Amino acid sequence: MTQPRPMLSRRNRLHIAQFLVLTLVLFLGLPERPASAGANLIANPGLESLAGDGFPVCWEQSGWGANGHTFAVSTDAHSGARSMSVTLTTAGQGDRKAMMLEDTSCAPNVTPGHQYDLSVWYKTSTPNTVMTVFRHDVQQGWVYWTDLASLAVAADWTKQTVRTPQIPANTDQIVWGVTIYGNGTLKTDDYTMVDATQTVPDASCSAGDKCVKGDWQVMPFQSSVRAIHAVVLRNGNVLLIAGSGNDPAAFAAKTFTTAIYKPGTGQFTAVPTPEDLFCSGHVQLKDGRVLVMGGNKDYPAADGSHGYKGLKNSYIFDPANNTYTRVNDMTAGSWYPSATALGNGDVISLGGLGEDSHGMVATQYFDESENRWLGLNEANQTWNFWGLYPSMILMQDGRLFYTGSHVFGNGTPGTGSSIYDYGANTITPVNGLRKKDERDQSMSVLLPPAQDQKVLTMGGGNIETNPDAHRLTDLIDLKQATPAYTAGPSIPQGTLTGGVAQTGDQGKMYVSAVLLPDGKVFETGGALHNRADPVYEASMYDPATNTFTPGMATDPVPRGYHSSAFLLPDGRVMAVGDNPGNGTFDMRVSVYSPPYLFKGARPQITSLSSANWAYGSSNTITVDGPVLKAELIRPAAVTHSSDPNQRFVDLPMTVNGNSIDLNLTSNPNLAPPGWYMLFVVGTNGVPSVAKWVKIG
Amino acid sequence: MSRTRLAAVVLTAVAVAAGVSWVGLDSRDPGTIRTTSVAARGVLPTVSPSAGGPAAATKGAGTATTPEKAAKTTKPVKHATPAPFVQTFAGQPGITRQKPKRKPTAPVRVAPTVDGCDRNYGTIAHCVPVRFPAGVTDKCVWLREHGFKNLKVAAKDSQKLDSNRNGVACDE
Repeated sequence: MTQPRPMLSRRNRLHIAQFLVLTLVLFLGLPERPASAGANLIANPGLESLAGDGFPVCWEQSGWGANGHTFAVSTDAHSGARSMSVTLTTAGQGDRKAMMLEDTSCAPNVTPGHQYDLSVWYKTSTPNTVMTVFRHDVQQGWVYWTDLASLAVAADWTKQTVRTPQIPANTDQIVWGVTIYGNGTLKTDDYTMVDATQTVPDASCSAGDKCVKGDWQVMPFQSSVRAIHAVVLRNGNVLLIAGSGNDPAAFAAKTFTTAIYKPGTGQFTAVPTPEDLFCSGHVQLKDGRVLVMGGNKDYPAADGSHGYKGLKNSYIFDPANNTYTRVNDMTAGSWYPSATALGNGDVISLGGLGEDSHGMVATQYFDESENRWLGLNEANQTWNFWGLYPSMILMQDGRLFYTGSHVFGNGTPGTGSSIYDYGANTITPVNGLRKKDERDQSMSVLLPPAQDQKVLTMGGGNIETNPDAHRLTDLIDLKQATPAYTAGPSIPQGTLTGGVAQTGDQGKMYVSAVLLPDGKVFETGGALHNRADPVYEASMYDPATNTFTPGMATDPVPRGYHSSAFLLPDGRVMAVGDNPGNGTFDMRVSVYSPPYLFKGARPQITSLSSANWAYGSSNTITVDGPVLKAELIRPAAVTHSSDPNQRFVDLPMTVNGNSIDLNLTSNPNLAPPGWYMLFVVGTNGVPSVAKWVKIG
Repeated sequence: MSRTRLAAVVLTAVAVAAGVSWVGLDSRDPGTIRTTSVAARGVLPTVSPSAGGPAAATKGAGTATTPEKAAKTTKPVKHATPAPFVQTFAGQPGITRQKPKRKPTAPVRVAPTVDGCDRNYGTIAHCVPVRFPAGVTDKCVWLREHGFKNLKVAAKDSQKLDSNRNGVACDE
């Protein structure tokens, strides 16, 4: 009789042991998951460890200004035994911050391109608080980065979470905290910072060249008017103003035209036009109506006895009924005036030619609340001549930055660029703009995001001296104590008529630059000489890297004098106009689809909690998928390469799945009141179609 | 128990154990995972807050406030609107501020040819350049190449384009 076989023989046990050892070795050999995933990157996040002076380790008492303040470690904690308390008693100048220490051993490490969710538990008795972030630039050291979100007043412990924008290049660490700038007490505790970088989906694109160059289409119809002035309206239609359209026969016949273009249908609707609004200025008011100022009172005489004369008339165009309504006259005639919307909704207009063809030196101020132009003595006057269509960009503190971009001839005397303080009634020069007398019909844009306060000025020429237009760009950071232009990358070169390649330093005037919802700037159109020699070239400027990507698809239609390009709410770019010296006018309409429109599904904003947003508020939207960023883009009001109101305002996100709270700045100078296009950009880099929201 | 069944049981047990361990690693207390060098050392350094130091100066220098509208509020107000948070960038220290000029008594003269066009030729719609681009040796050729036709001399033949003096520029 054979012995029963044991359940586990020695050999079986050996095999099992071998298997377990092998499994253990393999298990231990598995790569460790990244520590960052879900990890809190903050040192001493609960503020429990104190330094020798009794303040939490890795935190500091920061801020500036003559204000009564107290920093303290409080026993009123969200968890543990301690929180930080900051009290302001005599606010009015400066602020105070409970901030992480700018120290390599304390500041959280970050990776460029990543995003982080920053959270803090807080109580505050004042709404005047904001989450502030500094970044460590590997070349510049510690610099201010951005403000993310205001904290609502809260008597109980409340959690605020905000996602950073993508970490800029050359950044290896950040610190952040909460700034208090109003009287009250702010307590904070239990800070967290986690890597919230989302997976980038496969960016497969099967559209060939369009994937990298985009694509132009010339519409099968023509504009019904000479589209010299273009304003995108709050309903998505485009106001195209010709007036007499630089056509003396139309002027003589008093045939003045305007049309509404509907991008959705390609239809044009004629609008009765009360005066010759050719050469006017224009800007959207906060209710979405369009303030049109000045225009053409007369063309120049052949015998040289007078030049162009400016109209004093001013009108408001209402997109609700497509009509112009006259308001009171400006204080002076204005032919080629600037128009900049201010943070309070008012409008400042500078420069141009008066009724007598001479330089218009008044500061003309439209009071939005009174719906009228102030009298000459009601507005501050510097009696400075700013030239024609001077590009005046609203800065975050309410001053105006004259970029040096202008129309016709030389720049202003001196450095050709300056900062105008309407309140103090002073002008201070700004250095560094190259070829300031060849910035005629260059284009300046406040780069995305507006919070970065950087301006790029591109190209330009001079219709008097008529040199080859150049390809210089100059960049200025208005966050610096003494901002000065520095050399930017050159505009890529294209071809001239007949496909002749540009050479040497040849660039372009009549430049169009359009802020896109993905945060880049599309540069297109232009010409080499005064109303002659179109340049066929388009490029994509990336503010994050300060580089141009050359070789974007070019508009087959020449786009020189009296041309414009602007963003449509669907994310495409529309281009109109060209008025060469031979007196013709190109009525064709071109539409550009940027590469992002060929790279996959577009995210959708499926709902808005409200279309009316207050400054410093958080506004909930829902989307149908993961989102990289969200922003507001002010609709265009452009002519002669000049749209100083064009801006892209970042909206820091508080993400909760497909429900996202968008945090709007408390500063109206960063986003003057009015209607904006709200875009979200998916993780695939593709923007949504815009929804319209009203700010302020 | 067959060998196969035994092996399956053991394999399952190992897989479960490994899975539990793996899951356990995932669910570590986030508070104990630190990626700063301080956290990595596990000991917090003693640091003196440097309110007046360079770092604080950096943070302070770029910040400002605007008149604080809520300052008179003694009780916390839910959903109050924050005052604008304005930075003191671009102070331009040391740069002279140009004060307003006196109201001009004489006009700021701007040439009638402000647009660079010679109004002696064609209609107002035309723009014969006051100055032709560098390298243009024959203005009439340039004008023809750029689509100018039937260019009448409207006033003076300032650029000598009407050599046969018939009142039409560049027609010979």
